[in-house]
Amino acid sequence: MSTKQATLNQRAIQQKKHGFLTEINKNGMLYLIMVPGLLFFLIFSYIPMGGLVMAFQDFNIIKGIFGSDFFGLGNFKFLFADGTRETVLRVVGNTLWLNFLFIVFSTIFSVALAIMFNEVRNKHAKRITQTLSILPYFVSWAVIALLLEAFLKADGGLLSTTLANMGINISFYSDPSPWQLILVIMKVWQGAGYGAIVYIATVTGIDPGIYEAAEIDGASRWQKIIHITIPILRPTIVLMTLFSVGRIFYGDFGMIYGLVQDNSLLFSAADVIDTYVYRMLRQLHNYGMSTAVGLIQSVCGFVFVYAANKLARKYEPDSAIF
Amino acid sequence: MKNPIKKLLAATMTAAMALTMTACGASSSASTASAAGSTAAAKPKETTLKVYMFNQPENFDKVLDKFYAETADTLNIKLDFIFSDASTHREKIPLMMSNQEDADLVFDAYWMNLATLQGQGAYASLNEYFNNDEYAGLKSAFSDSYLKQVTDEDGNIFAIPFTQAAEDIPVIYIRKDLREKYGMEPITSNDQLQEYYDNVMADIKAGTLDMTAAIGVSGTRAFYYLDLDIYDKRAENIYVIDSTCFGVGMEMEAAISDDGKTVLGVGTLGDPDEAFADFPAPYNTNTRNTRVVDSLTKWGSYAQADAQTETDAKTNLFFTGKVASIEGNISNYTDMEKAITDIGGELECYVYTDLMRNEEQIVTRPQTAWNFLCVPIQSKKKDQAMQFINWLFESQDNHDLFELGIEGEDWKAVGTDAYESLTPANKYSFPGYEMTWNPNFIRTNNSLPEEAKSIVMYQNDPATYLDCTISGFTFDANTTPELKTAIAAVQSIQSEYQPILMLGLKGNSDAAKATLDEYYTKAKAAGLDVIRDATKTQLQAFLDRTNS
Amino acid sequence: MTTIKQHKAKIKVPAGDKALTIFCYSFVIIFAILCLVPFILGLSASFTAEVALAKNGYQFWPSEFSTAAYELLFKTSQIFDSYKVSIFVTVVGTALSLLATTLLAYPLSTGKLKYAGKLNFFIYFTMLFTGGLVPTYMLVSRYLGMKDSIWVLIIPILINPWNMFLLRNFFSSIPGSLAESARIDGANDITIMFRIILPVSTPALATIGLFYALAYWNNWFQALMYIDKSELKPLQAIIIEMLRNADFMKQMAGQMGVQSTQIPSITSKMATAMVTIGPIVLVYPFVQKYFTSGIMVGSVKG
Repeated sequence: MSTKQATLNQRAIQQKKHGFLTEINKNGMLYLIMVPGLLFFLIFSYIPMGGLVMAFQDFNIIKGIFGSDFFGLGNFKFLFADGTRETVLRVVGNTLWLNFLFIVFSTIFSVALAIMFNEVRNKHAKRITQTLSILPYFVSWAVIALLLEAFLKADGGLLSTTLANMGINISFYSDPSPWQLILVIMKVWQGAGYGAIVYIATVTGIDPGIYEAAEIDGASRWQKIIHITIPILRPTIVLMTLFSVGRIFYGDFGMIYGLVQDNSLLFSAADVIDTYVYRMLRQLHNYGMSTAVGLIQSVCGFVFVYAANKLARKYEPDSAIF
Repeated sequence: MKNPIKKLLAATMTAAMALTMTACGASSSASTASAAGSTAAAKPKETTLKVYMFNQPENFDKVLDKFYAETADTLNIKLDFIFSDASTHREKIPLMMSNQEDADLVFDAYWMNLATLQGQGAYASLNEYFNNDEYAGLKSAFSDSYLKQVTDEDGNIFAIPFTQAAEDIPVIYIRKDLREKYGMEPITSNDQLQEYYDNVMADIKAGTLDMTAAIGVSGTRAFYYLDLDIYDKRAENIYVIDSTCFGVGMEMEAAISDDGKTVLGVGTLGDPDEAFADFPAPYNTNTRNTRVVDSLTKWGSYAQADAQTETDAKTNLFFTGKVASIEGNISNYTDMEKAITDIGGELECYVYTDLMRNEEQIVTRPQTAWNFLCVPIQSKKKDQAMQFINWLFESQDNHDLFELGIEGEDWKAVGTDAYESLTPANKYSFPGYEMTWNPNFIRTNNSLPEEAKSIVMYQNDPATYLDCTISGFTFDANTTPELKTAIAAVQSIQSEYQPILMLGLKGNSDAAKATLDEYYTKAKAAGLDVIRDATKTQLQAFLDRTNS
Repeated sequence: MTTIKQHKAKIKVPAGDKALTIFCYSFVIIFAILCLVPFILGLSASFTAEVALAKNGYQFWPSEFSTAAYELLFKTSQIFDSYKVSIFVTVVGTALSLLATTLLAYPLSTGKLKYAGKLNFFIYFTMLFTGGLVPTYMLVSRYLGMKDSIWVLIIPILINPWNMFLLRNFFSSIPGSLAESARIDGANDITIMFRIILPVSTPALATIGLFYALAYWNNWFQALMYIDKSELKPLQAIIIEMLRNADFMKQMAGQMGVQSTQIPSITSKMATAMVTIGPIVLVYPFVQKYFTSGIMVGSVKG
């Protein structure tokens, strides 16, 4: 009981004592069951967050976080070095643009898939197609890269040969122009089926009575999708988008490094902050510098998500995060 | 797993016990130190060493068991080897060090974290064990001059180096069957190599050879040394200083005066010829530029398409008969031969460096070893760790047990310096470069064909090598914040241009020239000169120190 | 409550609906095939002899059948040990995660808590800001002493805020009238949660449970960082170690002074990929049982 009091006291620091006690009196049970979960975040997220000071330290492995010297903004300098400005702008631009495309297309396809799975009434067809659609989620990007190569490589790739026979010559691994499209396709292919699960659960949970009522009014299935299903899915869509916005400054390292690797010919289209920083620091192995980059990404993402959440509160209060 | 709670309890108990035990260990370690050489001493207390490496060996347990059986009364050391993969190892060791975690021997190298960790004081000084008669094995295996490369400016030996010879001769592997098909004599010059490639490419084009290219490349090494005169330059006191110990684009070339006292100049890829003006002739122009523009472009046109995104290793390309040649090292000969024989081909290698092909003497690099074991400062069992390494080099038999496996089962001795590989079902294999390689304990594979054997004999002969003026010098990338910033920034540019340059631009030397200029302009703006100055300063300081 | 059967027994279908149905069927089937094709290519490749694969490329049926890649994989008992670890972590982890997440999500969904906004922010903030590897490693390894314990694969990743918010939204979409009527009967918050809310939330719990199960199954990072003992390494860790090793060796060749020729071939990469996918795919059809129409009674407002 005392732990609970302590935790709650912290949160209530600005609250009037009176208001706090009344609240506890009223909803004590609900607060109590939250304690394990809140402790989890306190221990595994907030305590390590103290490590963010490393962004301002000349971090020394032996001296550790408590003993290393402070260093001002020195760790941020390398991001703004002369001669790299163009590149930095490019990777930031790519990160935001690619993430924007990923959010838009993944959402559209996941929602569409969920709705269409619902329209598939044959039980076996439904079960089989749904299960198959999440298969790609389990294949690591390193393996997907191998398969993609089989389609795109210059000599003997399935797609490049077919295109060449049609008179279109694209050298996929040296021409950056199709790569944003390729990345979007791969992202949708890999994640749409998995992303659809959350919508499927909602769609199937809808009370059939509502549809029936609409049917009596003469609504077609298309109209039902537009006027019933999508509005019901909207809070979830908004919530999922808000989450993605918070990470918009983080490039999908696993995917992009897996597919593009160190092929600098494609960097103009596919290089993102995370791959760029990885290449910068892969020899130095400097914790201070990598913490600094992460901090910038988080702060920028926070600004974005804060604004987005404000909008959500206004238009879709149910799905605002906080 | 049946009872996870029980397991958790057990784990906590062990942890608590380990804590108390290490506390005791600290006080008693001094008394066990003298037990190293003398077998007459009482049986020492059992100690378990934690050894961190990467690359899982095969059938390791049988060797460990034999080791335990042989040393139960003398060393009584148990070995707890932890093998992860190379990149996890690289990521995890600094974390463990920052955490003062229990570890007694740790693999490290300049291509891992050695520079950073040693620079920040993570590794214990091992001076007391070397050149100490109580550690006879270490004395016989590691000479003072060999240890120079792991001695820091304060005279502390911070690592145990593992290497067989100062060089692992770089070669081009080709297909003998193809060469003979083309009616060519064994290749002895780059021109002949080019002729071989031309023949292969012509066959591919004609559709008579089912391959994708003449040369297979992957990663950035490509055909790096081909047409490069770094070995000739060493004879003139010009050395390659790798400021990152990683890439090839940021290498600085430094010329040292004949008396070995002053740094004459430092130049790098992209520099105008003036940067090399103080270098001894004929190296007083930027030969790296010409190489990138002319030579790499020439060889690049023989490589497979999409070389930059090659997802497969080049060895696998060669092993599956997709390419007719790859660059490699002589130490891989046996594996290569087996793989090529498997696909019905014949293997041959061409030593493309003139000095080495003619078996002349070569000046070594500043660092001859690539791979090391270190003892973390927090280890409470430093003595036992070194006793184990000492045991390893106490006799050829001890050494061979860990390097080759069980005699008569995994291998058979041929004379005193060769072996024949046997093939039991539970064949032992161990990454020798992580722990057992040593110039004084080499056994050559007897099944090597004469051609390869003679190259290996030349390579392993100590007389092949001449000492390097700056032996033991390593570049410290962490001296100033400016240097760190410059390295990160230049590396980001280099990583973008280097693969294009190093993998060759498919016969287009104008494009190569333009790309090189673009790279140089950006790299210079990002602080290439900061790295250059640091190289010069650090090198000069090193010379002043060694000459005083 | 309406049943599906009644729903089906409707009058004839309009033409537009028919077209829509056909479109949906074809789209879903094409997408499923697109997901399956690379998988089949991979499966076939894993059973092809390495040289034949290089020569003939990927085919739907092995051009030269070989089990060499699998023999290599199953040479040691490691894979079996790892399967056991993965299954334990997935089952126990999912159960614990579901419990902890529900206990957090339900109170926040009720709309009764005065401090809900602050607590939501407290949780969401952790999705944006993380301390990074060094402090986390220190905490888990030194202060919590969880290194080389199977629990390190579960506890530090017990609650995913993303899943917590999803579940919260699911709960809050349940009409408040349900809880209210129970409250009038004298039930307290906890009883309402267990007796009223959870039983009507099986689709949501199944979804979140599935997400947790997939995440536990796919997780390798915890194991690579905190597990030294090979008998405690889950399946994904083994696979990732192999792939990462291959990548590193390729990149570092030339810097190591040794060039490894033991880089896993494409066939063995494919074989490991197939082995990892293994049983987890079977979980989905099982979970689908809970996605049943109408269970979440009147889950829609208005």
